[in-house]
Amino acid sequence: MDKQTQETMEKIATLRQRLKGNIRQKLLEHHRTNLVKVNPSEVRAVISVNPHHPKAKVFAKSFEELHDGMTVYVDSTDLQAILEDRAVVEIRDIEPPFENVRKTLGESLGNIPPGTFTDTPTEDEDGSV
Amino acid sequence: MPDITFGAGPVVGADCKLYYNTGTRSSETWVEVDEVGDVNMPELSVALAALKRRANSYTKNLPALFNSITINATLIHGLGPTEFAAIQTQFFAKTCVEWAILGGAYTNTSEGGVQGLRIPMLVSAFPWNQPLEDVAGHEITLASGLLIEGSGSSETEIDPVWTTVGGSPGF
Repeated sequence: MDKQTQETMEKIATLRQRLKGNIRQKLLEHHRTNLVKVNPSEVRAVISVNPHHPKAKVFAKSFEELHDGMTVYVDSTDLQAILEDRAVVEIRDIEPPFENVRKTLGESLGNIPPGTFTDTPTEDEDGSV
Repeated sequence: MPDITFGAGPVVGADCKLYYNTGTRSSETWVEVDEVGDVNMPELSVALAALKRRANSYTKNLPALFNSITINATLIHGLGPTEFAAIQTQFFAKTCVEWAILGGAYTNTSEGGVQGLRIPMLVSAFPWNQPLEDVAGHEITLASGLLIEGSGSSETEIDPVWTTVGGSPGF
């Protein structure tokens, strides 16, 4: 399935949920996350592996002011996506009064050859957080 | 019912956490602000429109907008230079960044997990208290603010969200 078809299907799925729930106002988003405690030097190492990944570009900016001795928390799926060179996909599920949001790994971005820095994940390891 | 875990049980304020995000809503990078004393979120309320009419003896309230949300915290002076510099800069530069106020650590993976509010906030007050016989500090106030991410067609206004960390797998 190409990216455009996938996006269209996601939009239709979201619209169906809204029609089903008869939502008239914007819902409070409920984000379910799994964060990992990291040292900025570790994240800089991850960025160096795949600097063209969109998440790596955002992290490069957000870590500019953070020194190596600090402790910070980042989303494990984001880090995994950079290492595996894969997209991050948001999954939304409307359940009034909340719109549940979680992240999972998407398709390969093709920036680096598969398995260059990590083992290729199995189906079971594939993304759910 | 939405799958929002209730948490692992009662907690004391010392175990609660306050963070600010140096990244974006979708690529978060949280820095803990731990050199703080009491932290309070006194304003999390809905504005009410009072409905009063001849036909009924009781005043009924209709919910309107959520009121401005504020967080008050005592930032100890002289400790945590990185977090102090970041908060001081946010105040003097009048910048709005995302904050998280949680009932536990972001790394909590217990069955109940932890939860809290993520919200773009301004440091709206940064006073400096120097009592003669008490620890000097800043009674900072954070107030909900306008945060826009992206540009052009991808511009997104960041609204407050409820967040759950750890806990049992849900939706």
